[in-house]
Amino acid sequence: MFCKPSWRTLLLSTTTVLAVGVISPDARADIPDENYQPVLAHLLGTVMPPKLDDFHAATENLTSEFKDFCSDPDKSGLEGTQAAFHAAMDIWQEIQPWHMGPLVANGRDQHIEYWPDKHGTAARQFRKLMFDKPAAYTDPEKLSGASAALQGFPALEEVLFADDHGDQMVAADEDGVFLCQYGTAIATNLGTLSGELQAEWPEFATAVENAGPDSMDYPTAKFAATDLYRALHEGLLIISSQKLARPLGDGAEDASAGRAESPISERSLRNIEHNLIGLFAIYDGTWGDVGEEGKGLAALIDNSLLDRSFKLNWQTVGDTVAELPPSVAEVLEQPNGYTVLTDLKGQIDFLTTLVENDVGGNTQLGGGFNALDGD
Amino acid sequence: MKIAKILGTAALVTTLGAQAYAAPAAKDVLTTYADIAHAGYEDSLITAKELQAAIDELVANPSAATFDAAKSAWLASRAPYQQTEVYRFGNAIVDDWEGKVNAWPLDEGLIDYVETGLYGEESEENPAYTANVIANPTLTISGETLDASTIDAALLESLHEIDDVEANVATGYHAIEFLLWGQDLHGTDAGAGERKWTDYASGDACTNGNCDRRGEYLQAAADLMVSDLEWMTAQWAEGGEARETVLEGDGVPGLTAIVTGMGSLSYGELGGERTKLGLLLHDPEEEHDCFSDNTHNSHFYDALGIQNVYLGRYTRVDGSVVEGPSLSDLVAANDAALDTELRAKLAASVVAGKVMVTRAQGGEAFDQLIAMGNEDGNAVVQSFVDALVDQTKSIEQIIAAVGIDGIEFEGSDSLDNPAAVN
Repeated sequence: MFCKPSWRTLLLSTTTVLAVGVISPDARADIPDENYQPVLAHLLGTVMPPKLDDFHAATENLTSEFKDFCSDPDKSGLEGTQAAFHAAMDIWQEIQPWHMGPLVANGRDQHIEYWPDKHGTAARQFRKLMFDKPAAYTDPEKLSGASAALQGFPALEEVLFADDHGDQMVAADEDGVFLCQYGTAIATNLGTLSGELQAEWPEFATAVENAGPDSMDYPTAKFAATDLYRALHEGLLIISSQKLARPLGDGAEDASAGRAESPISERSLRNIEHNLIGLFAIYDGTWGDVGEEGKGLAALIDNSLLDRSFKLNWQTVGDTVAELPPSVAEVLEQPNGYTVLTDLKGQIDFLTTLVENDVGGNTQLGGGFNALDGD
Repeated sequence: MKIAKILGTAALVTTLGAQAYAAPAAKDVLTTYADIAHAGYEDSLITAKELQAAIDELVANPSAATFDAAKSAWLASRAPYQQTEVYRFGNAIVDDWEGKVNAWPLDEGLIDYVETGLYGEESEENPAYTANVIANPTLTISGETLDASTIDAALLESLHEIDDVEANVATGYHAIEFLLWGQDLHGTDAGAGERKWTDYASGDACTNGNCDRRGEYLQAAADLMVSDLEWMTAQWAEGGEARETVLEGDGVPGLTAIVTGMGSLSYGELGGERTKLGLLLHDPEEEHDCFSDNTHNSHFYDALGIQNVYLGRYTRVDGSVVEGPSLSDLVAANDAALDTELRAKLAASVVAGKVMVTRAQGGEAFDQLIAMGNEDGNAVVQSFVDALVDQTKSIEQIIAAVGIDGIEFEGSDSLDNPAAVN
């Protein structure tokens, strides 16, 4: 059981203080376009590239672990490969919300992780795959042209963590041999995707940093910075409306951990914890040991009280997630688990409101697309 | 059913006073918008009534000829309806209603027999996955018994989205489509559903059982669709709620509705959920008109509908034209370059949609175009997606050009691709 003070108590107390110091965004003069450029340069040119290096290294390590495991399968090798999966997934979850440029070009983010799977496509296609065992799916290059639902982290999760797949790979039976080859192909393809992302990012960053009338895509730096704001805003919306609302369902009776992200590897809340790290970097400009405090969107906010309050609220939510077990399933097993997750969703929703009102208002960014659902 | 979110209170700004040349009044633009909506829904109603008559004839006199006539009538009915889809996002009255007539995708096992080898026998998400109303006068769904002995509009309405599962689509175009074509079992190979007319035959000629109940279902679905379209047509007539809503106030809410509809359909719904997702998954289950293989036309007419509302011009099914002062005129008065750019991009999307139509007419339907390994076909579909994304970027700029603010378009999980906007 997790007994925590109400998130409203924790969060609203800070924003009550805030109300005194906030200047109405409407009363402000327009932020000069050149003010957005250092933020773009810092976040896209300084902060993100080392993280993409980390991601690529993690996927390369995952491939290496998978190959080693499959060359002489045993329990220890399986566990090592699962650990490599988690390490790669951790850094991916931090990068995932930076929904822009090479990350989303040609559906790259979907190929890295196809989720949520609203129509159950992955399960249906995986059943057929295991029935047919087509050789093409053991070839990383051919796999890259396959369904997004059959490549990337969720597919790899299925191979490494689902049902008896681990045992089958260790036993090296017919299914196990195919799973090993298929899993290695997925990991290799992830290495390729992360390498492409790493390679393409600098050109994108340069294009954004050079926003101006001569740019087809970014006629102003403010227009370009809007993508960063949207990433921050949508990242929180996705955590709330998909990563938490889906498993929560319409009520406690309807809750299902199976609808959470990464349910088989039991890391749905660990994903959110890492999402928040990557998202905070957009605001603050620091990401682990990379970057510099106050050089993200916060640089555009001329209000230190608001800034401190926002960070405090964010820290509160981050602490909440960090104290929870890594999976939604584990929390839902507790007597008050549903309430705990509902409260967490409330905290995320509150952060979203702060982003809309305080960050959006004071940076004069906002609007545009919502990268969420259609039918 | 989703509706684009309006984040803030839209405010008319003074840019309207700094126009390069006289702009049409917002009310006039909105009147054209409402006139086109009324004409589009009325055309949808007219063609739905023709479909209803063809279905009545099929049920009364089942034969290959009456069956083909009903299928032709269904195909014809799609052209005007798809051009109205641009009204869905931004107009709550449409969005709240449209699921009754065009909900998609559906778990067709709710309605009739399916090939379970492909479809499966159960779904964790949907207790009614293989309920098969046509075969079962009594249904038990989630522990509740339902009397389905009489198949009529009331039963279909009670089944629609039963158990709060959106895939339980019991009414509308796609339910009728399934009853006319059946499942497309060809995967990404050539061929649509191959239901036989004998599924509606009498006596010993009846195939797959329950032909009388299947006919009753088909007629009830057609009757309901006509009724639903009559209602929506009335909402856009003089004094109708939809028309009154877009015309009220200073014009900003109405203009916001136009731009929201154009952007949300372009980007999240058509570009993303209906097209890019199919391409990402190479999966025919992600095809909009998946039973009839008519997706190319549905997508084309969606794109045409977006262009219609911007240009303020719609060609009706009888060939007559409804036109008037347009959003294009309004944008041109404020930013002529943007208007020129957007006109070109909207035309490019329509052309990209037409390429898919041409490929389909040549024997390569949408489900084949998205097949894994069909690089050329994939490129054709991707071009359509790219064109839609591209035009959305320009649509977004309308917001500033005509002085409306705070619009958030529907997006999609499968689509956010600035790199494609080149």
